[in-house]
Amino acid sequence: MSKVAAADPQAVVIKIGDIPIRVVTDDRHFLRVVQDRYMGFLSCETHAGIDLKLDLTAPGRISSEEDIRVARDSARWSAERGDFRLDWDSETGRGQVRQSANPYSLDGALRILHTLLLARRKGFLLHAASAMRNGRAFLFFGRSGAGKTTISRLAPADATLLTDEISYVRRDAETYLAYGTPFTGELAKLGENVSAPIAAVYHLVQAPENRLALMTPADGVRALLESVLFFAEDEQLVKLVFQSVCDLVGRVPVYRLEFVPNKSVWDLIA
Amino acid sequence: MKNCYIARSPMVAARQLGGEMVIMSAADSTLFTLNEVASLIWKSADGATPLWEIVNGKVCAEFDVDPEIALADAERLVGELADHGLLLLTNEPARPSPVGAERSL
Repeated sequence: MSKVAAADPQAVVIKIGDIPIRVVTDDRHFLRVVQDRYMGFLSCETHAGIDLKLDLTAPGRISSEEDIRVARDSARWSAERGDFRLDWDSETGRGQVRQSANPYSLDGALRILHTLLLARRKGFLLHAASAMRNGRAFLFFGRSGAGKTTISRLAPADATLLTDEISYVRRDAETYLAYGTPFTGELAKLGENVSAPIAAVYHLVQAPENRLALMTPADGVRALLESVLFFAEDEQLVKLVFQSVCDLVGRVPVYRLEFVPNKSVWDLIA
Repeated sequence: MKNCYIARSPMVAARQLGGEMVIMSAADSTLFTLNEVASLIWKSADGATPLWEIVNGKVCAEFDVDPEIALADAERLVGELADHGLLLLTNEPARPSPVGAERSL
């Protein structure tokens, strides 16, 4: 991390899913907050290709509206939530985030930017926990309360947590990889910055007993699409995300996993 | 619906998954699933073949159905898909797409 700070005292490069994004601010205190927040996902690369300049405003200047609006005008993207506004040019790779000095806001802007970047790289963000075991990744998705955090907590000691909240899925040659992310849920624990080929995907349903059932490809796609994070009303990118989800389901089994919240559920996994 | 021609809208993405065709409207991300007969009609929707010919030549050839009933069902189906913006209906065959034009599949 000291190398990053020495290379440019006003910037930090956050690399998630092999995509580096350079974040620039002249507020040194907030820069340190960002460095701490994304510890483990910082890169020494000097040329990230994607630059975000932070325009920090006084707290409370932006509303607390939770709805996200993402729009495109030619190559210029804008994304707005109550606590930030992101403007980004996909041709130059440069953009700006207007927000208060709150890492939660930067986190939101980065998530949205990654959804846009991933769509063209045959990937997507999924509202799912993921873990790596024996060199293979396993994804667990479902509605809020389905048990993503629970299954992360129950993971055996030899499993590596990639995320308990937002899974990062990206195609690599003939396989799909899951990457660790710093996007946290209830565990408030950053994932490990590693990746592995996805071996299986599980649709979580809490039930009185453990049961595993292979889903049909069509059911798998329908269920997964409900958990994909994508906010842009952009027909081209929507199609690309749909095709990536279908492609993943064509290569990786999707199971419905009914489970009771104890460690025995992991006997069904892998 | 005599001489009805059907073409897939460029505003959709579709994928055959097992025996089902899953279609998503790129405009509002709504999902649709077609059964085998409807999938066959969908795949035949090239804008140049009249619906009656699709029904007679493909649906009736592959499935044991009465041609008149099959055509009536097909007309109802394509009407519904058109209402959702998934299919384009015309009374004339579509001109061939220029080389390199985007396809929905």
